[in-house]
Amino acid sequence: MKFDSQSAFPYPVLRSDNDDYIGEEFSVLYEVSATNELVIINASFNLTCSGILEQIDNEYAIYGLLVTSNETFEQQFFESKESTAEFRMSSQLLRGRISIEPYIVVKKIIENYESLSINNEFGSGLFLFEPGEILAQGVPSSFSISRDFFKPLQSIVKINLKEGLVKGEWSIKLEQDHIIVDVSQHIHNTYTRAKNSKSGQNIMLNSIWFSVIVHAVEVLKKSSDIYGEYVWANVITAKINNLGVDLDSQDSYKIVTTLLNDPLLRLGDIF
Amino acid sequence: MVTLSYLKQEAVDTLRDGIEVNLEVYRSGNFEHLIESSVVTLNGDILIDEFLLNGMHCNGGERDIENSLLVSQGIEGLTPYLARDERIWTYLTHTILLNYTRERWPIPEDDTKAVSYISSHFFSKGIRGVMRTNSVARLWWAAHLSNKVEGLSLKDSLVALLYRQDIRGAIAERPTISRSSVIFSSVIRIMNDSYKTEERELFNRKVSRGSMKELNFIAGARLLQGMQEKEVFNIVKEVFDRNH
Repeated sequence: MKFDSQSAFPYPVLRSDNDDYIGEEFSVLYEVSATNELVIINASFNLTCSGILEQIDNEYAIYGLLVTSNETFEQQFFESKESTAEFRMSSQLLRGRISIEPYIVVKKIIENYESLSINNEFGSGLFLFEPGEILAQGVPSSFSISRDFFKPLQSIVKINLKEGLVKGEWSIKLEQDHIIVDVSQHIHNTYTRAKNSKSGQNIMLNSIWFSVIVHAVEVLKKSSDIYGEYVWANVITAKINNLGVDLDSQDSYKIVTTLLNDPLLRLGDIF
Repeated sequence: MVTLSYLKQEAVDTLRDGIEVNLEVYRSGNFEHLIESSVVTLNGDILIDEFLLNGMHCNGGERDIENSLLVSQGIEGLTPYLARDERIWTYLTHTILLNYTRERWPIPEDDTKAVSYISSHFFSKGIRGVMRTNSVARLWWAAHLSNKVEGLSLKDSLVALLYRQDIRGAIAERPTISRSSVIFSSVIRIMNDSYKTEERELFNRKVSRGSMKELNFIAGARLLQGMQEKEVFNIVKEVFDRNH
């Protein structure tokens, strides 16, 4: 079912932009939080119509949210008897724009339904509702799932040529979304040559990248509150969480060895 | 098992722009020298079993069901989120599954047709690319959807989904049906029952198209996703019964 304010139903449906019901409202407030593992939707349904509320109280109808990710062909329907509820789903099932459509759906046959708020145009008859038919439809909304998880750790680090640094000198800056590594002309030349071959990349991974990520993890251990809002911190934290590793329970070099998939093994083909 | 890799976006774009220049490589060469510096290994636990993937062949037919099972088993830990990324599928069709792709979708001799063919089957732009045209993505997504079917083995579900290309299109590419596991499950279970009969009546184009159309209409008026699985199954069954 797709939200369409122009859809005509042969029975009254409470919607924000029609007058099937007079003076009644169905709306939802959401709070969506997403990590690389889980999307949590906290929903608060607001329904004023006593006739529909009675159906929910008597378990003939439920509050529902239809969550759809077009890009991953994923759709889940969450239901609740309560007007406030928390719904959870795996982030890895979703991608791109995720739509949320709120409904009140009939669960058991409702016979002889009536409400004083129903527009007179529907006449004075009583209504019959079958399971799956809707009593109310809220305005849809959406949120997005970003591509951060997909990014390799190297993508959060930028190597920057810094004039004035002497031959073997380099330094790390963490106070922005990407980790900036300032390097001397000599190191930059080596890095540029190395990144053009597989073996060069693997040597860089085990030298500069490994050191940089260890430093970043070390800093996160000590002061995640200071750096927590930067993109690099979110990416590293999410990847650590995804591996089921507790940031505080292991030494930084061990965490990074796991994060980079045992990088020393990549040197086996070179030496 | 080795960790799954992907191609940098720049490399994907360069390959796509250079199809015509690389036609002979697509026909009989390999891409190692062209993509060597553009391969990135994914972090995490996504592994490929090269033995299983190397076992993908067509043997003169299509063998989509068998190869879908091999892709499903041979790529371990891939999530739907990642499986929508063209860089992964382009990497596979230009490396380990290059020969399979050539075998399944033989490149036409006419150069103009060949460019269009390669663009469709070696790359995977948009929903159509992953679901229908990319030689590997289409098999992975068929298995992913089929895995959602309750009460049937993956193979039985794939048989019902892939037995006829036009039926697959009618089911998998119709959002109302393919996105909802409860509706999709019901359709595949009913199709599977029909597959086991001698007549296989529900695979008749007219019957399947009529049923999907009616089902789409019903799902526009009732929220089937909010109903019990058994209730949805009965509705879907009645639709097929009416259409054959």
